[in-house]
Amino acid sequence: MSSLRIDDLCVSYGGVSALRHVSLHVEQGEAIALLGANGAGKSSLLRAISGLVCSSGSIAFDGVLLGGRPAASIARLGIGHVPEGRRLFARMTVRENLALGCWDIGATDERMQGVFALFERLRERADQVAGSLSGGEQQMVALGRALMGSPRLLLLDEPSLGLAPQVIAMIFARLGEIHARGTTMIVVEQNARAALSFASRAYVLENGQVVRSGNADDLANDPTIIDAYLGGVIE
Amino acid sequence: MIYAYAALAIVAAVLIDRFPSPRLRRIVIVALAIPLLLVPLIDPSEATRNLLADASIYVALALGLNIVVGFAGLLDLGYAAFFAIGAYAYGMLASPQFGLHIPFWVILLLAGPLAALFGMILGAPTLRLRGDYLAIVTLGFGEIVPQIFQNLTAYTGGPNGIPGLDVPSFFGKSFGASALPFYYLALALVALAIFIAGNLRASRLGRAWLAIRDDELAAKHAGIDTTRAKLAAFAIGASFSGCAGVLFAAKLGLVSPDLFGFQVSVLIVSMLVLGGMGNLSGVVIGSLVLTMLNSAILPQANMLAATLLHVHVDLSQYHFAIYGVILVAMMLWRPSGLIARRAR
Repeated sequence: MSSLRIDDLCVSYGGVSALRHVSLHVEQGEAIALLGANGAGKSSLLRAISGLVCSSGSIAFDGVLLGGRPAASIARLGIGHVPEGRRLFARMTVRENLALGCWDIGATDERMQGVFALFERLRERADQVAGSLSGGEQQMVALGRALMGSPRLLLLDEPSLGLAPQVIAMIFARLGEIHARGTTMIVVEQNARAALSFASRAYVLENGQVVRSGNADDLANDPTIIDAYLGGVIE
Repeated sequence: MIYAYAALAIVAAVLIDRFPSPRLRRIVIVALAIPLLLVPLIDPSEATRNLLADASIYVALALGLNIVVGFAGLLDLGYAAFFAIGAYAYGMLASPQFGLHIPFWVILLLAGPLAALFGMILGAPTLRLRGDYLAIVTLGFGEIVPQIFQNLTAYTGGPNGIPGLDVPSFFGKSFGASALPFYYLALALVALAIFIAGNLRASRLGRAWLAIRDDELAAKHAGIDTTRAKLAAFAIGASFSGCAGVLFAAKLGLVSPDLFGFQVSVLIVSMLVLGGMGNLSGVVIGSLVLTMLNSAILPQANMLAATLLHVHVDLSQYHFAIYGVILVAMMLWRPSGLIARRAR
């Protein structure tokens, strides 16, 4: 059974349609990438899964239909969402930010230590205000906050946004570790190269529709994809 | 003497967040609270007691609104509506209006849940609104409620309100004409409000409120049930206002719609802005300063102007102008209030 199955999903914002009849599936333990230009509908797709925007069509997570459920109840089912631009609570400490990631079940020390084990840097920064952290550290907090709820499916919206190449490599290495533990993932990325080398499959969105899908390696070597998303043909 | 104490209390409140140990902080708070119990005994004038009782009721109101505006970040400009609901509950249930003479204490206990219910009724349709839009809807609610009380003449006495409310009694002993019992009751309500607000702030619900205040979308992303948290803020905030309303009505002995207009909502918001939203000692100080300004400082200034300058003015007439100047000055120089939230 697929972990996530989306059929005929449509999202529109006041008459402007952001997603049109999107269907896709993610298998248990798989990591997939969503590629596309700005405004292609990548973030809208993640927001529809999380219940943050209204959508039509069907989204099923482990056989449970998500349509009409409020965002908090979807999070409780085991879907963690790392939002675009991190959206931390800037005036709260790292620890408080993390605790809010499993607000409904209560933050245990065990969960907190799990995040600190993954990101040692955050242990040192635990009592600092999140707004004072560097971009990379903030991304770690955003990831950690989503992990606090022990998600089975992790939605990552541009985890590389605004980060230095070295930091991006580190973030993806950690994502690899999380994935290796069996967490299913959907990664939205502008940085198509990083996303395609991380994911096993990918979907390409254009104007709210899936225009291509397939094996990540095949897509990474596809001339049209290289031309559109990987900065031209490498000779 | 009261002014000396007030000045001392304000200085202490400004400094209190800088005190290193929480224990020392607690000792100072207790030391400051004791004179509050004794002040009316030291100064036996009824005017002082009345002033203190009113000030305490306003502090309780401000603490309630602080939960909605200061903690959850939901700008509520119709908060006086719940004050009116509490007051009218007492007015209708403990007066000759319907011949119902339900005991004061029963109504005081019921006013909290009743106002909380109305808080949720107002909160439910505004859940999707934010900032200015929320403010406009709550403003409307604040206008509608006194209007309803004014127009339901058969039940509420219309524009004249309901006079001759029952004088409460405590174990058979009537409160009499003195404001003193109301002062102590209001003080107890304030203490309860501080206790509840302080504990809520540190609770899971409190953290959810702060998260919603900082970034509602991020709170949703993190899986926080924003609907429940916002409704809880409206309900809990309103319940303080309802209880304060019962006290207010019983003390005054009458209710009328003009007592709960827009000015009251604005006054309470001003108290929060002046003191510092989200900060309990700030809220207390802000509400004390504004109440004192209105009922003690301005009359004193009138007298001073008359004796020293031989000018006869009534500065109380200009109190809204003075609030306005204070608010503008605050926005310019101390936008986070007299007592800003502790920066970490």
